[in-house]
Amino acid sequence: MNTKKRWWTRSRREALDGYVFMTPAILGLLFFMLGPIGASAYFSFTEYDILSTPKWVGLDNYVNLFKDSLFWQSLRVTMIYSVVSVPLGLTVSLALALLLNKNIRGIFLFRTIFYLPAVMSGVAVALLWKWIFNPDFGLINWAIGLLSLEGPKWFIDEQWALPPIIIMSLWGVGGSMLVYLAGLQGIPTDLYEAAEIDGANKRKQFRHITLPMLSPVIFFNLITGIIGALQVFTEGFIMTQGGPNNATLFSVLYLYRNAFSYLQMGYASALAWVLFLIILAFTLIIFKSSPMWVFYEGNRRSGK
Amino acid sequence: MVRKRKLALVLAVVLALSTVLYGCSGGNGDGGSGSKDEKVTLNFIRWSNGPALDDEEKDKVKRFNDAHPNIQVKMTLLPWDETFKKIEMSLASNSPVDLFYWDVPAYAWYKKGLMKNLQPYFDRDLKMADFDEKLFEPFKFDGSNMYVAPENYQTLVLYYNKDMFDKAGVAYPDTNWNWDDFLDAAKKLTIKEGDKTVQFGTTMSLGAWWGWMALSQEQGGALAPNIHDPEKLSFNTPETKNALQYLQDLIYKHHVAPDAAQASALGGDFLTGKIAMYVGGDWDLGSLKEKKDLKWGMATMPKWGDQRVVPYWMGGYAMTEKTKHPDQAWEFIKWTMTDNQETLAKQQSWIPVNKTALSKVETPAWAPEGYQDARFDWMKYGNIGDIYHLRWREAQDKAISPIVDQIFANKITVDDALKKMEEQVNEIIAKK
Repeated sequence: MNTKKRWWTRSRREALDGYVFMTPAILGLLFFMLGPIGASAYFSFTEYDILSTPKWVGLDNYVNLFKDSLFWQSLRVTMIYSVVSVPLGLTVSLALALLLNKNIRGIFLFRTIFYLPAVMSGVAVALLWKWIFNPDFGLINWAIGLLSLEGPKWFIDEQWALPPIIIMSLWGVGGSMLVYLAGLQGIPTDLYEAAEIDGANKRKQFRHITLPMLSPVIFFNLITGIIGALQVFTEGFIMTQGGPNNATLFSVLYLYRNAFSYLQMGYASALAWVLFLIILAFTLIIFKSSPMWVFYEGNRRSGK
Repeated sequence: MVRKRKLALVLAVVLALSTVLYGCSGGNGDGGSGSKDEKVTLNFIRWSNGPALDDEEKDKVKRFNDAHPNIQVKMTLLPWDETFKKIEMSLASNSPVDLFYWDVPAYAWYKKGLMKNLQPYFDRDLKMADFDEKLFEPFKFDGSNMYVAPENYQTLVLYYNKDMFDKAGVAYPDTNWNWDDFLDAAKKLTIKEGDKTVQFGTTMSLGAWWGWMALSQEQGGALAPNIHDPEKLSFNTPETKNALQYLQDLIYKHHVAPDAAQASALGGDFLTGKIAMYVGGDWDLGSLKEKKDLKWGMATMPKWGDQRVVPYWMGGYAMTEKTKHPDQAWEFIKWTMTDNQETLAKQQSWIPVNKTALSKVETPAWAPEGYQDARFDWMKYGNIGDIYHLRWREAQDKAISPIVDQIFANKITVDDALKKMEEQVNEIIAKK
């Protein structure tokens, strides 16, 4: 009796309760996340058309991937998109957050207005932008026409198919803007007061207080931004169907086509894993570099 | 004691959760096709063709269900692309859909042995004398057995805007027109205001592969001697070159058809009265007949020189190999090929396949002159406008569309384009 009592301690009971409550999440992870992830890892080494049983082909899919010119094209398109859209998005959202951090009347109204686009549905927005970029009667080329210049043939000319999608991506900066805003409000005002007494002007305050204090938030936005950009899909799928001449064939779109249009789930899985490794590599690089530029309070910039 | 109860509780929770989780993949089979009086539900997926045609499909299914109290066909309408994904997923599961409406991507499923051979049913229940069996040949995938049951035909016709022809003083197209006449008329029907073309003689409606292939076929060209699993496709032929050159010239040499940018700038098409004529599918009739303010006419597709070959396509139903109710599914298919054919003839949206029904097709009240010739003349020289190959879709996406994009953007000569196309397409279809 005594031993039994001791075994069944309060902490063990709490632990058990904990596991019971975690069960749904763990089962969900096992069945709906790890299961498919494991399956796709296996499929990536097979020839699999969804309809018949997978056939083991070893590294064939990966080898073919490197010989596939469309894979490289899709990677190129995705990289260009990411390299331009991520920094652009970070800058614009930071600028907006700085403006919306001002203490003026009706600021909540402005915050709502600038956040609103981020909650609108992707397809409707894509269609709206297609009109805005229409080469002949779209808003943008009309504005360019006012300067008596001729606007480019957006979406129709190969060179001008990707830029509008990049510009469009700014439509969704509301999310990271909000995170910046929260970060800005978290900076203690006494830092600015002290700086002002020391004679620092606004620009210096921004460089030496705002940016360092905000660096964890920039870090967060950078990582999520890169992951999101490398997985871009909807615009290419809905607005351009990857064209013209594959100028907007994003990696995930190419993956999707292999999986569902060409019946090559094995090849698509290999593509997914390569894409995953690329994203992982980028993320790791940024994480490794973070001690150099990310500043956490109470942790003087000491490196590591 | 307490401990045991707790353990039991945990086990119960886990069990409950796992039943929930496995529930979705659990058995929904009702086992066997059963007896004739058993009430059976058939799952049927087809793609949507817009509200008007969808209503006809819904009505079709309803009339069948009313006439067959023991069979309930449950139809799901999806966007075209979605349809094939959905059926594919169902084929990968243990309980596939029973019926689906055929289109070329489904050929892959035949190759994987997932489509039911319908020939035994044809032999048992249908009089082939009721049909033009020669036109059905494309659906004999293995050369002798029908895998799809044709319900209707579709073809290409020439549509024209009478008001524009009258205004330009050009005679209406007739059955003797060839593509030179077409071009002459297009030139006269193109109107410029300053630099800007405000009305184009025609459009690039034949820019899709089956469009320019039709022009190539009229000259005797062909992609392959056999449309089923061709081992090699020939694009780099004089006929196909002529066809694509003719189309490219419509934009860049004669300026009678808009390029992609001009087309989007025009902000309209034949329906909105910005285009004088075009060759398109007879499936466009559905939207044209609703257009009361547009005075339009029809003619047969123009000849190439003095030769005419018009492509046709077939719509029809197929059954999955693993359906649990093949007999009931066949009942539906048979009904669409027999009892329902006269309704099809009356509705005028599709050309019926049954000869009796075909003979009863009247010229509808809304039909413009030229209707009969344009819509039914092809049966004398029709040629199927399909290619059936496991990798055809991939070849279109990866090689044909991008290269054709370049041709119609005037970035590549037709010669170079077709050399490239032939090389790339054959590389794709040669892959195992």
